[in-house]
Amino acid sequence: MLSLILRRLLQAIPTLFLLITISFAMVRAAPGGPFSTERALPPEVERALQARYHLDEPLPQQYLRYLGSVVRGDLGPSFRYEEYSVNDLIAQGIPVTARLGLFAMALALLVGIGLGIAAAWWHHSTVDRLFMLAAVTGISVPSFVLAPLFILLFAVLWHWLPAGGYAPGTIAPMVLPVLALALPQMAYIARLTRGAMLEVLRSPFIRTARAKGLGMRLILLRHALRPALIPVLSYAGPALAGLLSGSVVVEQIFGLPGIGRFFIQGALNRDYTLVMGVTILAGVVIILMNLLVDLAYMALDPRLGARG
Amino acid sequence: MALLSIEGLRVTYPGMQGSLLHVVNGVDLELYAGEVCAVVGESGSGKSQTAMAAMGLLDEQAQVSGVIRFQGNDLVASKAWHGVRGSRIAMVFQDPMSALNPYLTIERQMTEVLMVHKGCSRLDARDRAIKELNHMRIPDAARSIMRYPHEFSGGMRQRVLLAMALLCEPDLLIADEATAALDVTVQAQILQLLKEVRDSHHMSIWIITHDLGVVAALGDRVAVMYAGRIVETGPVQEVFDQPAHPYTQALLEAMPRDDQPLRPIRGQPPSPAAIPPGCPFHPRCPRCFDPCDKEMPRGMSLSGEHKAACHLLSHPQELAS
Repeated sequence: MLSLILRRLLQAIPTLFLLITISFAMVRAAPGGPFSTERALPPEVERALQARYHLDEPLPQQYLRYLGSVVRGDLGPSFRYEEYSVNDLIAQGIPVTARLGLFAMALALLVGIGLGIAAAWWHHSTVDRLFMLAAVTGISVPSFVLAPLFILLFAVLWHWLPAGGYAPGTIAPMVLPVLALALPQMAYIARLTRGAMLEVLRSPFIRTARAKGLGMRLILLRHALRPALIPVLSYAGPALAGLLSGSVVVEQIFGLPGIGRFFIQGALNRDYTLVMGVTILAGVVIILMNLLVDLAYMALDPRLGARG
Repeated sequence: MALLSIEGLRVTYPGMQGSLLHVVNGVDLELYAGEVCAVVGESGSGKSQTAMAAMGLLDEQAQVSGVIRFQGNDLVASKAWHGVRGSRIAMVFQDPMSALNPYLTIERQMTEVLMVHKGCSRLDARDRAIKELNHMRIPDAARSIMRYPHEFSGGMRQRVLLAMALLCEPDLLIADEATAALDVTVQAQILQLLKEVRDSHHMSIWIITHDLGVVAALGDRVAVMYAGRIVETGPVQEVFDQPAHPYTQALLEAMPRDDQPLRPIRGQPPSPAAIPPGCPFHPRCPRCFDPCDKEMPRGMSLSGEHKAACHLLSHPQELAS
């Protein structure tokens, strides 16, 4: 297992290198620059700024300079938030985004898997049809529709929860964004779980379990659930990576100072280093999540554990 | 009194466009305590479906009618399989490679049977499971029990499944093609094991097979199924020596012999959606004559236990010709 982890981390190096190179090229290819404003700056001011951030050097040199600082763990200064480095900004955003993403995914997994099991249990019944109708609705309505709807209902109309804002250590402002993020995921996970359960329930080893005279509860929870969780896991890992590298829309709507919000700001302001930093963070998170999913496979399936 | 008696069992499934698939069409079968009854027939003859009906394991779409009386209770009417299935009647299936849950240890899969049916503690259940594995000659049972199914060979897995089925000391063991998926040498070992089980556990065994060799090796009594009916039944020796039904005769002749080319039965078994009128075997029967395509032959007793359902038996002049 340790060798798998090491191997995967080594494999991550060329992946990250490619990611940095391609996104560096793409960011620089976008028109405009960090200091283009509506009112043109005096040329000497602009030249001074360019020199300060080494933007006057030829591109290859800038690229090597950036690569060098990334290797040392420094994502560079932010062009827009003058007194902050990109490392600082990401360190500020991570607690917000992580809390949001982890809570949303935990909620989605917990409820989604539960609903999926229930739908498989009462397969073809009204319960099953109702759950699946709700799930299809949930999948079809994206977070950017749910979020304003929630704000309208729970904040504006009923005044139960705040419409946005963030204060460290408080729960209330997080409730609506977590829900808006979790619901579509939950719906998808419920469908995935139900489908996988029904598939597993057709396998010969389930027939054996039934022939042994086991009750429905044991058959579903002990015999069918574990194999049925594998496709759920394959989905949840990358999905969580997506949430952890910034839930762009939801953070923006609820005004949460998370990674996603920095990404939008960075992209709009041509804050090269900030955009690059968030992109690298996303890459790292995705690689780690995939590794985590593979480790979880090994924990779930003894046939894999033996080989690794 | 019979341990298990099946009377007029019918199983139908809804087919395409409102049609019905007649999978089992009036099976009468009795199993007595301590005997080995073998049900033979081609694939699709309804032999497995009959057993699944007795276990209450048919698909929910299946429509079942008739009587399945086990130790006096009609299981079809009462649906009282709880406490019977897996406990009084146990079943072993064809493919040992896929019949065990790959995600759970052998221990988990064995002990849960005893914990559910006998209310054993985990430790007691474990001891009894190890004992049963030893009976089935699983090497180093106390350690093997902690392993996962993929760590065993096919033959070993079938032994595990057999041990698992025997945990509650059932009155009846159903073995559905239990040796069909195994190598010939392993097959022989499992057959030997089944013989020992029959003698040591004093239980009835209901074997489902298409292999007449298995019937000869193990069976006390044989029932030959065709298109969802039993066409001939009787003591194995008698049926093998003097098969009365042309289908049984054809089956016996189709057995591979060293010195002869294979003699397959011509044609295909009928589809359960379109079973021929009269005797369902008549389109393939070399001795088909006048009433065969119109009337369903009734079961006739030949001598004591030996019965067959064929028009030849009630038409001695045809039988002689």
